[in-house]
Amino acid sequence: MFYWRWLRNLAEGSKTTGYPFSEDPAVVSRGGSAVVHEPLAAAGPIRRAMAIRHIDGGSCNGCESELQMLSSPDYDFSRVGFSYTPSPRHADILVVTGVITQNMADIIADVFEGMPRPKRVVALGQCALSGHVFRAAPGVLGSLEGIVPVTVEIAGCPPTPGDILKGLLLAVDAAPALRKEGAV
Amino acid sequence: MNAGLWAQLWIGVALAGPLVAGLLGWVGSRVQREFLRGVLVLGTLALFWMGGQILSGHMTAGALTLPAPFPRLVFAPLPLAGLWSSLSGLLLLATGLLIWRHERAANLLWALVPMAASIGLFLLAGDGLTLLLGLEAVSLTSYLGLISSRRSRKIWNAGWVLLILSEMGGLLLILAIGLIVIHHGPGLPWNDSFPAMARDAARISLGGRLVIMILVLLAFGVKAGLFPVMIWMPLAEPEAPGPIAGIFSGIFTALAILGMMAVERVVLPGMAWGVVLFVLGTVGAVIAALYSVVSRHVKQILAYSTLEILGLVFAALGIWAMAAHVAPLSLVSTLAWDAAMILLIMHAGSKFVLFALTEHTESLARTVDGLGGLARRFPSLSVVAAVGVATLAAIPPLGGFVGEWLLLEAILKPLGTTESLRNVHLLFVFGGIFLAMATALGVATYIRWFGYVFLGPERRPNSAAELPPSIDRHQIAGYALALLPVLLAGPGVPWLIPWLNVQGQRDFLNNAQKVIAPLFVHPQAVPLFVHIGGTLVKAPGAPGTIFYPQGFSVGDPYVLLWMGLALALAVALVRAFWRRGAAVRHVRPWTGGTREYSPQTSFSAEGFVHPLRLAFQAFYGLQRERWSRSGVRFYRHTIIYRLEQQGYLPVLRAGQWVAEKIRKTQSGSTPLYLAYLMGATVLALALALWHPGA
Amino acid sequence: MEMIWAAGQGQQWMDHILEQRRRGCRLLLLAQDPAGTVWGVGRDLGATEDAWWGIDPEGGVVRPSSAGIGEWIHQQEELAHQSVPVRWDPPEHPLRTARGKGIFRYPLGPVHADVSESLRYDLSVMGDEIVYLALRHGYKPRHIAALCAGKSVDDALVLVERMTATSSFSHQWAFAMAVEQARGQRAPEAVRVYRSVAQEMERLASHLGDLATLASSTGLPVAQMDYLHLKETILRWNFRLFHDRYLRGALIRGVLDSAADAAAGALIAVGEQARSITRELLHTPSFLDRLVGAGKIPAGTLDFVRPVGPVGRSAGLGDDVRALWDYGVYDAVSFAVPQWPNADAYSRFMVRTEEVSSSVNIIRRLLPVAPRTPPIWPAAEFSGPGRGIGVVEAPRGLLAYAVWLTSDGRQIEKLAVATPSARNWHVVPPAVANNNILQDFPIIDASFLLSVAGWDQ
Repeated sequence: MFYWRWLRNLAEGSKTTGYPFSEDPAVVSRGGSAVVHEPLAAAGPIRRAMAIRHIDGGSCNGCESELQMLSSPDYDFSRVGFSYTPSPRHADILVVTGVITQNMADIIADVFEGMPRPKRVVALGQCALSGHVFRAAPGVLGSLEGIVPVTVEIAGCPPTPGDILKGLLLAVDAAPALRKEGAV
Repeated sequence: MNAGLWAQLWIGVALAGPLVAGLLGWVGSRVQREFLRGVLVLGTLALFWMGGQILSGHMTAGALTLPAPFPRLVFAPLPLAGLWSSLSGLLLLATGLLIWRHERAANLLWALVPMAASIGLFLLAGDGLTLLLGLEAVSLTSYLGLISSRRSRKIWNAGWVLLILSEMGGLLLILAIGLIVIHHGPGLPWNDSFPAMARDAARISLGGRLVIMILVLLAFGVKAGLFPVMIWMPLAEPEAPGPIAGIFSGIFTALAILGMMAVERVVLPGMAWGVVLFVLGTVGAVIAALYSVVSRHVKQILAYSTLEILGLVFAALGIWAMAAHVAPLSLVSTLAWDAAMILLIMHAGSKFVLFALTEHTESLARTVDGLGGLARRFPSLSVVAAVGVATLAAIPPLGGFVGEWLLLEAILKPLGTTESLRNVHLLFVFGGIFLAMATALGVATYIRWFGYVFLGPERRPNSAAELPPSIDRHQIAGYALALLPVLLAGPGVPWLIPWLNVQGQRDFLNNAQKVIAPLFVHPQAVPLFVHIGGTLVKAPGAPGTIFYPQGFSVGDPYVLLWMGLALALAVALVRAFWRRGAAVRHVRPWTGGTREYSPQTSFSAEGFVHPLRLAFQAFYGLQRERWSRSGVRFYRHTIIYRLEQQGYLPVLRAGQWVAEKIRKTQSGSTPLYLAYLMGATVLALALALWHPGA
Repeated sequence: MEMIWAAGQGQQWMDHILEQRRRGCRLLLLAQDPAGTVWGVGRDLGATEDAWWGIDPEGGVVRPSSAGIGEWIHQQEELAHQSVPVRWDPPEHPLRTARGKGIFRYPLGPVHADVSESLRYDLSVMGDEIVYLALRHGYKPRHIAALCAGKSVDDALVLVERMTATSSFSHQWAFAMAVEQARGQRAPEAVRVYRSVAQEMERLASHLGDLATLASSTGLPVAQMDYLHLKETILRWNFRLFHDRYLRGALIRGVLDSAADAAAGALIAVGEQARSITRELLHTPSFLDRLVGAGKIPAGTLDFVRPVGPVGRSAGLGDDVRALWDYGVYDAVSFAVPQWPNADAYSRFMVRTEEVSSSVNIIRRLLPVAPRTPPIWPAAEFSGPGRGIGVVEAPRGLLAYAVWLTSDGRQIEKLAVATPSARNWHVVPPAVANNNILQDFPIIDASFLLSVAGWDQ
């Protein structure tokens, strides 16, 4: 029954934004992202598969909601080669959200350890960068320092899908491509 | 040396061996043990020698004259006695090696010495009386083997069931022989040799001969694991020491079948006999496969799998008997004969090995769910087990594959073109559905058994005290010896099958068509097979040979084997050249972030079969219960053993009830007896009055 | 209305609450005030006042969950782990495990496939049949209630609006309502209209996201993408109307952006799109086959926990805070409260789809009258410490806040929260371990789709 709908969607044309390679007023940017550690040259650039493993280190599920929107037709991150993967064995990028609680720290380190090289870590959202308003809570570490080496930080509470997309592209050494398009 | 001398030797060993050992007990237990060990080794060597003599045709029939009033005993080798004498010697020698350093070696040796003698005696049965004596000897020594090493209520129970069923078998055999020899006419018939008995039997009607054969079938079926008289096996084999259970399962079953075939050769019971064998074999194979796949107990799984394989053997013999009767020139009977014999040979080796190695698992746990990860602790043992399991699971080119392949070929190959032949073939195919299901369930059973015992995580942390001893050189040699039959029935078939066919032709008047032929010797045959869609299946062991006449087959069974080997080779090459031997990165298994990963969080053997249990829940009478008590959710499922609980138990209860009633009538008081007498008198008077004319 | 029992009268306290519960009183939350008294709070149907049942916890209190009250099961555990813990009698839940030959534990998580929150499911499995499920949470507590103590109302608001992003505005409103009640205020109608619009927008986004996840769990990516597109549309409208995709700060802002005039048409189109996707799904057997009868909540569990929100309404429990105690302007806009009786995944799907329609309806009616300029609050005179209760219907159900204010009315002395997820999570294990197999599990999980952030507060 759903084939009709599928065909109609095809006929209606793409809903996907061109952001971040071209400007789109509907896609907002609020925080921005920054490379904090250059990816290790020895590890080499990530070119083909860009599988993402996400871990919730104590979030309010806002970052998760926005990460899910990345696979929506409006952002469709698979057009630039990203996908989610269940197993760290297949992952290239580790995306960590939330305040980083004591309980999750070891698990995050385990998952990073299980990923093959080359690999990147993206700290997503204000909580993962600094603990945000929860910094003082017991059991909250507030940052990934000492747990895993962060490649890219993406700010925002929560970061918008546009910001996340741009940050992920930075994490896989796509900065030159972004600069050429005038997006950064 | 003729058979009579050999028989005297075996009787002497059985009597003198334990007697002298008992006397040596005064000197010291060590001397006693070494003496018994020596006798056992000599006995196995004698079995080899006897086998060689029979195989080379130098064994002549002989007789043993006893003082009056005892009858004369006639001895002559049973059909295929040479082969089984050698195989018995081989497995008994392997047992001797396996228990070399065993702490209960002395106990086992007490049973093994008479066992070797009883096997030798049985194989030389030349008439009805010696066959009966041989069967009794084998029954007694198997009882001895069961109870000699341990004492527990379970063993006593299993021993009683074994004894009762064996004695019942003995009685049935006496009855059957009696029914034959009453046709002898005047004179003392007991010392008739088998050829003489055959002359007697020829006077009996076909129906009478069938009745006799069914009695014999039940008599030997007890030993051979025939449905429905096999119930002692799943009781006794789990309790017996590993190698002893292996001999029960591997050797005694085959001996019983030889005994049955010896009488069959005398009686010639005809077509209906084949149907009985085929039906009982098929039913037994399916039922045993269904129970073996759900069993929890390491050895009980093997015991039920014995019944499954023996069910296949009986079904193959049924096909052999039927096909030989309706289409004597057809290849089908030859294929089925070869299938039955090869299944027996490979089963003897592989099942013996599997039972024997449970000696190493028993001290850890008795259920498959309690074990696990033994491959890391005993790598050599796991290789032995893998060979045994691969054989039973019919992985080419080992024996199980050849046997099951030939059986299915016999089923699929058309018998002929007349309507009655087509109907018989239809019966084969109908039974074949169930046999195929039984073999498929068997594969699941063996995967489950090997996987949960040897692979995976260790289920229970064991303290050093209860760890089983490591494997010594004697045991490695023992296992290697015991695996020889597996190779004989597998890669050895190009030589084994022609020999089997010659034997079958000599003893049972089989046609001895070629089942294996050089691939391109008959070039005119090849296009024919290709034309009818047949695949030329290579016979294992001898390059350039094929299983010759095919009905049709669905594909090359070697494809998977070659694919597996090619994949393994590819991985090895990648590791050797691409990674240049660099170590593979080892990381912990991905558990979704759960840190306390334990054996309890890995798939259980019970869970493995749960879908099967649900699929066959009507058969199992599956009952599932769940209840909660103080926050703990309990789950239990039970299955019914229908034959035991719904077949034998009501009979037993009825017997008890009758016995109880009889006891009550006999334990009354004097007035009660007087009352009985009074009542009977009144009744007699009434009858007399009512029939005054009488 | 307030009743208080002395130390040692725990049984009488519990008997009274049980009697009220039997009468039909709804239990809102369980909290400890700054002085240490444990308060159970309930409210009768149609009542405007809350019933406060207090007990001096000195010497132990009867454990409500052992007496058959499942509504407070999360809060009673919280109280037992505070710095001065309440001693419950019996002190512990009995050990929860599953026993049986061959049952093995299948630990799932805390990290599972795709994008999800950290929670561990310990599935006890016989073959592929789920016999028992234990949930292990506590991977991500942020201790928000504890952090709020001693903060100013405005600072606390920043924290509570980050408890669960997908129901951020509901938290803001429930918190604000509690503060207002404590101060003796009542929001003017224009404010309530504004808040109702914001809350329904939030419900739309949350439900559409849940429906997308459910579609994806049954392997229907086309429907998933369609729902996600609608969710993104709502999130973009949230940004235009309230300047935040998740309505953070929307309560303080208090006025709609002028873009609101153009919104009604677009939102009605979203509602129609959603209806059309639902229609197609109802004609997709591969979807229905996997939902109907899956994850049925057992009757005993329903009676124990009395789940709220869409989970409760799909199980024959008709509670909807908007209809029970109108706290916005819901009585003025008649709307249907969907009810499905079967307590299975299909019922939960249907309730959510119908609520999407009714939310669009409410927004359509309220948008024209929602304030474009800041509404005027009546002057309030407040003196002395006060306490207040705020109850709203969050996207996942009844959300209750209790606050105790300091004497100047500007600082939070104590805060207690009862989130719908913390309550509803307790019906998930019995529903999953109810004759379902492992393959049903992702679907059942997606049909509940509760928030872990609302449990690990």
